[in-house]
Amino acid sequence: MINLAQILVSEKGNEFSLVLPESICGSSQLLAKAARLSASFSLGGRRVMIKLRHLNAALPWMIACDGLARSVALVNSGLSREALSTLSAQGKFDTIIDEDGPSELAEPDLAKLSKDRPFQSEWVLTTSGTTGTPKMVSHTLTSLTRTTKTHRLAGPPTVWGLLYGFDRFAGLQVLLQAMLSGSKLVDVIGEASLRDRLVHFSKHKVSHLSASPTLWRKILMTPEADGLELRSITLGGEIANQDILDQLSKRFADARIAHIYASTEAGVGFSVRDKLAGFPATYLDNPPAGVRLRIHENMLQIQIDNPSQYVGTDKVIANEQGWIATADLVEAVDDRILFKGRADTTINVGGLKVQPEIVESVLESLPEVESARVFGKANPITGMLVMAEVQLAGEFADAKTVTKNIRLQLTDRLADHEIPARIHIVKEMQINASGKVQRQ
Amino acid sequence: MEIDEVRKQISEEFLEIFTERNPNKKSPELSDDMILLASGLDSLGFAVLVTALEERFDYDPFTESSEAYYPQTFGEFVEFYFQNQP
Repeated sequence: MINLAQILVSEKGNEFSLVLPESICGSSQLLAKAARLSASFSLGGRRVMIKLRHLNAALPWMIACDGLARSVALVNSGLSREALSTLSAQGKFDTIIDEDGPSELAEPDLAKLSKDRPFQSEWVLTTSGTTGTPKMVSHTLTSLTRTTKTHRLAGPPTVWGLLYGFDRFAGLQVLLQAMLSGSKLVDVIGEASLRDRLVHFSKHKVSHLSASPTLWRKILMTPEADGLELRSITLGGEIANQDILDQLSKRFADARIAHIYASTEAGVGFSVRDKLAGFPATYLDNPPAGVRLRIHENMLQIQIDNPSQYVGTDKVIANEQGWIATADLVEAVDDRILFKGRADTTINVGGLKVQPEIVESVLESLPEVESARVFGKANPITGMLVMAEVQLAGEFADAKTVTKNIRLQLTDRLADHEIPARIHIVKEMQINASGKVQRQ
Repeated sequence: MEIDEVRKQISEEFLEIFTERNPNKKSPELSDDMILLASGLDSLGFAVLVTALEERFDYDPFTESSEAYYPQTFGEFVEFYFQNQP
């Protein structure tokens, strides 16, 4: 059982460093900071939530907690007080570490603390939020690093750029990858634009970058990306279509390109490295190591050893045989299995999930709206966008003004990506045979 | 449509969406060499613009064109819409 401190002390991990615009933090500095934090606040056996905006502040705490705290949850720094309170109650967290430092939320239950130190801390991640509270998934360093490559390639040094939040599964993968292989990790602090980040990445010769297809499209549209010399490109979080794979191959001709099928619940499923969309049909009989794949009712199912559990809810991730029903629709085309979208109603807007039912109820709570239908529409920039059709409650003179008012009220109640891109006023709603609103 | 008409309509839609999403900001000067993603319209706003233009023009050049292309400037964006009229 290995923890973050042990990784940084190891021969390879020792060469990890966090590169920020104004400073570089090497492994010994991180270990020293972690030791000071441990000495300042007793972490043993606690269930800790870390709610910090920047990795340079969070990482020393993560190192201090790993192997000491019973569990560590990484929560988004922008999480509302209400959602935070729900999550901490659900997961029985007793300590929070935020911009004000560590503080106790509740009396820690140290009675069942194991006498063996260090033990394997539980790592808790949240799934991307919809309105309301995200779900929490229980992991360990083992499950998080199941597919992490620790070997280093010969040649120029591997330098990772961080584009994801480190509190997200994808961001944590990049961090752990960099730590385990003893590479540099380049990050920014403060509110840096993508352009500034890319300039910073070019300056420090970032060679490895992981992002969602939407973010990659944005990168390709940013002139500062011309300064990047990438050797390894990873895509995840959304369907990687052939367009974006081709564009990336063209722009970064020397780079390896992999798209990853993963979720916070399943962890990393598998990666596809042939620069083609979807995955080879042969994966169904001859899957990559550690997974089994099958198709049931046009949806992909994945079976992994030791699937994770949700924290604080009875909802299950995998069935009794360990199969996870992903709700990702697939289609067999020649020797390929292609991803077609979601079977459930979830709309994926540039990697962020939206539940149309929730947007509908928010719309319907507005005085102007009688009923609403919310659905996804394919979009070349973000994959999907949220659209809404509304039936108005009563007569309104000017469609433009009503729509503007509706939109204004939505900005108070919904996150940016949840607000419908277009709101169309209709005379009648389309209803299907069982009287339900048709979303497709 | 002539390219000037395309530019005029795209500008109108751009400014409308920009104002909708950034009510307290001054709208940018739309010049051909304006970098799209530096205009203050983020990628979500941009996606909304593409959808709005599809409704206005009845075509989406990103779908029409056979090659994936990501315009960087306003001028390139207008040109892309102009070249890919069905």
